[in-house]
Amino acid sequence: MSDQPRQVILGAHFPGVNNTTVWSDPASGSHIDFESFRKFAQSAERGFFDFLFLAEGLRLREQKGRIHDLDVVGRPDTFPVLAGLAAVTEHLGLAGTINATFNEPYEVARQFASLDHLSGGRAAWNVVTSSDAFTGENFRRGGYLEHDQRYVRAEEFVKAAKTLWDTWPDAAGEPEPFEYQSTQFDIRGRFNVPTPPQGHPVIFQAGDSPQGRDFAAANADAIFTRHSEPEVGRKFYADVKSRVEKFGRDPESLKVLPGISFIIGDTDSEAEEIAAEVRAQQVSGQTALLLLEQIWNRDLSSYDPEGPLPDIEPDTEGPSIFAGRARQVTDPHAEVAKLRKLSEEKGLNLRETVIDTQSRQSFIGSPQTVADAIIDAVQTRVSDGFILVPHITPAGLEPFVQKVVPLLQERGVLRTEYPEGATLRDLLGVPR
Amino acid sequence: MNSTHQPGSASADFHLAIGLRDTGWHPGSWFRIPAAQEVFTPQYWGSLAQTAEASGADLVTFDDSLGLQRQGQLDASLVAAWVGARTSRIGLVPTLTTTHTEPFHLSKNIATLDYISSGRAGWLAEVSATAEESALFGRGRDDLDAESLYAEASDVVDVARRLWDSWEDDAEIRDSATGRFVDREKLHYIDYEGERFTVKGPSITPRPPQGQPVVALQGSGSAQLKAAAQQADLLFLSAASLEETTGLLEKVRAVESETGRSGAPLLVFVDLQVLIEPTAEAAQARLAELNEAAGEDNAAGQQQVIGTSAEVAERIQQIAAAGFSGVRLLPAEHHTDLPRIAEELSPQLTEAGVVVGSEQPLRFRLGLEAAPNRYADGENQPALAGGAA
Repeated sequence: MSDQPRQVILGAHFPGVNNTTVWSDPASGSHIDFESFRKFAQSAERGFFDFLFLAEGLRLREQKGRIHDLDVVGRPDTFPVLAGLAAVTEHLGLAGTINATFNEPYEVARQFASLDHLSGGRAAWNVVTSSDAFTGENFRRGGYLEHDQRYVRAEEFVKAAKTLWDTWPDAAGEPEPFEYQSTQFDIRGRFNVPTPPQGHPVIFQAGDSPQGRDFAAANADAIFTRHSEPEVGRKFYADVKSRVEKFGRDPESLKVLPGISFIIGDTDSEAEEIAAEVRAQQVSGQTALLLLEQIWNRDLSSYDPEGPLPDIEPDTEGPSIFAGRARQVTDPHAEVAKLRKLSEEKGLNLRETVIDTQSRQSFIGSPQTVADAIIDAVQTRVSDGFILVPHITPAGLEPFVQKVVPLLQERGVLRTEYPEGATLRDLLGVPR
Repeated sequence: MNSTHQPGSASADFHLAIGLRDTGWHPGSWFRIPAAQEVFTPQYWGSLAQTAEASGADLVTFDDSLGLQRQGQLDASLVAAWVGARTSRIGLVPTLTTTHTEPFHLSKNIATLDYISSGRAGWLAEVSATAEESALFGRGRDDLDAESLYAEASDVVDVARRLWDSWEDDAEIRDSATGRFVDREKLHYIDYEGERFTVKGPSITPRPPQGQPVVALQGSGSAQLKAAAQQADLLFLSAASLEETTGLLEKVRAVESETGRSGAPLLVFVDLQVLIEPTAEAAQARLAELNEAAGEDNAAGQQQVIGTSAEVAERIQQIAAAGFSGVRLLPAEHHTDLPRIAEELSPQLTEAGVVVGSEQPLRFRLGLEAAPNRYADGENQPALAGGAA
């Protein structure tokens, strides 16, 4: 091995549909108009990022049986947005989240193969599954999938897609007939798109359970995780890489990429101030009540966000009052006790308490501080790079691109130009 | 707002469409391109669309199917999205099929094309009629007859239209005072329950720029005509002669009244395959070459003009005079015939006042009214296109 420092992989997550995205900021633009996606993608490409990443939702979130109205909501369709972006970028990878539960392999394989052709080999698929009947209400089959069948479906789905991508000879020609039978699928015929430029578009997986890790280790090229802190991250990294080896693959063939938030200031202390302001912006009074309702599992709308925490106990018996997102609290009583203690000790009202519990942004500091932290994390195998999640659409990436990217380049951990004709697999170093 | 045409224009209501499918509509066109691979590159499609745009055509359709045609084809909706980011005037109407694809996905796909193209999206709704296509999905369907397939297509378009309306145009409010990003009173469940599927809604994608992107169907069978009368804005009619097509137009009007269509009548375009050469002899010679390359004669079942651009222009004027809303030109070979449409035919049509280009959203360009939202003001307004209750 050479003395070359490990290269940093960079992904750009288009800001999401949750309270991380600050819509009230005057700099916050449309998250629907194609122009926002174009600006965001071109910003990432100016910063020599490896890829852009889109999340997906297939039903609007609800709380107390009503559509959740406090956060950014709504998004355009993943595939056409990525195809449009392929026309206005040259090098950037284009990663989309597509649900394996409410789609079928033939169509998804066809759309990713088409996207890979249209982008010259830059397509990536983040495979997710869901088993919730709530989302299923928008689809023909409804909520048909058992919870414990999610990874079975995902794995068989990916195998089916790979089977289809492999049916054409590399050059022009005619496809071989395919047949794929499994517990979830029984399909046959001929695939109508030639083998994509990358052979197989890059496969992402985002899931933290042991099954999720195994699925990634066996099938994926990259894993999207939330473990960005050094100690936890290194443990996760080592665990995932050892699973990859267990499946007989080169550990370098799966990249570990935590999602991170970031705040950049001229100095570390300025960045800390901005970071605190952003955390406060992310939690309006109404959002504070709503976040607490997710813990209490009760209607708390009669409480004053500027007053004390609710004096009643959480409802652990009744059905969940919110739908469309994963439940995040496992022990409501313990959580409530912790909040009350925090509120008392620091003399915080309801909203201030919630703000205080918001996780700090993953990287806060001057450009030098942030660059150092990123380089250190990658060299010490916390990760192979990061997926940046800005809180402003579409310009949120700019401070990083303008100030941190040049430092990463100086240190020799980030490209200074894109290799001519490189596919996303080439950029990531994950050969087919 | 409802008309894009200048007053006094001789053919104010006549429109030009161009149909694209892989290398062209003559099967021999596959064997006469420099490299088969180019059909799978975006540059190829971008260049075709730019030529079509330069011709002044109102819209271009992108042919597609789930099953394998000829030598393969990219997903038309994604080709249209790519092209949408590289063009600025022409309407983009990809084929998406209704038989196996989820109505929810179809609706947001077309809505998103409308965002990418700033209001130039349409949808050519087709069915997947073969058992081979069902097998691609592992679905052993026994209802692959035209009547069932198009009844389903009609339902699917109905659902897509409801989903487009499921967000009112001003649903996003960004009201800092109340902390609300959207006004949830302006988001609507569609609660669709049909014979074949149910869809709850609302859409995940806000109402597209046109409100209701333009929906087209193609064909001439009674199942197609019925579905078109119920749910489409536009119908592409294919028949071997102008006489036959004119007879079908009367049938279309009859079906419209049978189905109780309200709002604007269907825009009816005639499909016309064209092979353009400077002389009739040269045209026949190229046709012979194409037939030989394909190893068969081209039995298209469409009207054809194999001849000079002046002959094509004359046929188009006959079609306009017969009361049709437009013509869809199907180039025999993209490489040769599309540039000739743009460079030779289009100036003649412009001079005759048949083509009037403009940069409006596609609906307005075709003379359709602004689409009211059926859910606005809590009232169930009738859909502009007709049938949907």
